[in-house]
Amino acid sequence: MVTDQRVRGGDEFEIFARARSQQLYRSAWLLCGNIHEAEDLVQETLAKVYVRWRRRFGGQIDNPAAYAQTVLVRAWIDTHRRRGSRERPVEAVPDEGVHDADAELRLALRNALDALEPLDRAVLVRRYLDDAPVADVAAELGISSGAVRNRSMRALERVRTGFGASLSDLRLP
Amino acid sequence: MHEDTNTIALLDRVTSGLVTDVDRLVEGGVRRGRIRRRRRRIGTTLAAAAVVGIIGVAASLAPGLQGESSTGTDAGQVADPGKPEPSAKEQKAPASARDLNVRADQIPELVTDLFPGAISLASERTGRFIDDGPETQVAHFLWNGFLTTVGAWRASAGDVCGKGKVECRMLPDGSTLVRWPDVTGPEVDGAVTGRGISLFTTDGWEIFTVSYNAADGKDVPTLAEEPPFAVAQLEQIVTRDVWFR
Repeated sequence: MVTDQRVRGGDEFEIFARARSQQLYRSAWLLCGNIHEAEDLVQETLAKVYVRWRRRFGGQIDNPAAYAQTVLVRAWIDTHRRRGSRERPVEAVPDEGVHDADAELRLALRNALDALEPLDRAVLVRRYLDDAPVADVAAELGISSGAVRNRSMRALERVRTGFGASLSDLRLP
Repeated sequence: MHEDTNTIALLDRVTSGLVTDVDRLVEGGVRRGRIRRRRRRIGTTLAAAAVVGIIGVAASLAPGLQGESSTGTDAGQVADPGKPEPSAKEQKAPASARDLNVRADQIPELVTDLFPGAISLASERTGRFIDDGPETQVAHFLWNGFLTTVGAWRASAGDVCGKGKVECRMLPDGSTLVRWPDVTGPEVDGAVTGRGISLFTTDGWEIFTVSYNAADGKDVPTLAEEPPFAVAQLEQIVTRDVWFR
């Protein structure tokens, strides 16, 4: 004897989750640097959004896509803080999900991102992959807008250094 | 407009080729979400009652909760990196899973049908009737003055049998009956005892009941040496054929 409304709520979440998971996974991969942690992070993100989505009171999410991205970044930051900044999981096997011509580029980028501080990495992903406004990123990460801009610049500079050349030298489509 | 369009293009290019199993991610996310939600629900009921013994029973009645708490999973934590949820095929509930036919507020009547007694409201802090739609229906109520918990939610016996001091018995229809050990809370909290039984169906449901020897889980005098319902009676409750459509 469940209400249709409840059932519809569940369906709506799954529709949303299916539509957003690929984008969340892309962000998660840039943050985590490997497919296992990225998948785990996405699932944890979806779980949190699910709980909020199904909340009886005060569960309305104005912008679910943006909310999910925020949850993802915060979850990653929290995890990173708990683990300690020095711990870096070592991937003993190659990313089996990666079988394309950009594999080398992806590996280089991952190495460059690995060299960033977590907050810088999060800023980079939110600003340049998710195209999030500075103010939003600042609010999500609990830092000032100026700090977001500074971290963006610093992160970009370090990624360029990591590549050994300016990003503009890369042959991008 | 971003100052570095090359960066945007690079991140987009590098990640656009990433392929993942969206079905698996969604299945895993929903599954974890249900566990979180369930834990939160129970956390505001039995945990609010703050009875160690009862919480122990409740935790054992909810394998997902037990698993989360034992691994220390909390909001924001990414659990067990390197081991994402199993594939959709592995964890999907059977396609023929039945729908619940019982709402939380109807549960006391299911008990009195079998064992006539006076029904009254449990203390407010238990949450009383938890109607969580198609996923969870739980009732906390007083039967002849004794706190009684009966409910149904999604779970698998595979998560509990073979672990701890539980007794598992397979029934002819393939479902598994689990007898949890009686748990008694600390003296300082009133030493309330909970006795629990769960029935895990083949289509992924857990029907469970806990009988207590007091009107609440904590800070109340016990009303009897043992909970009022014997194990056999609890079995009758969970094995009634009224739970599903």
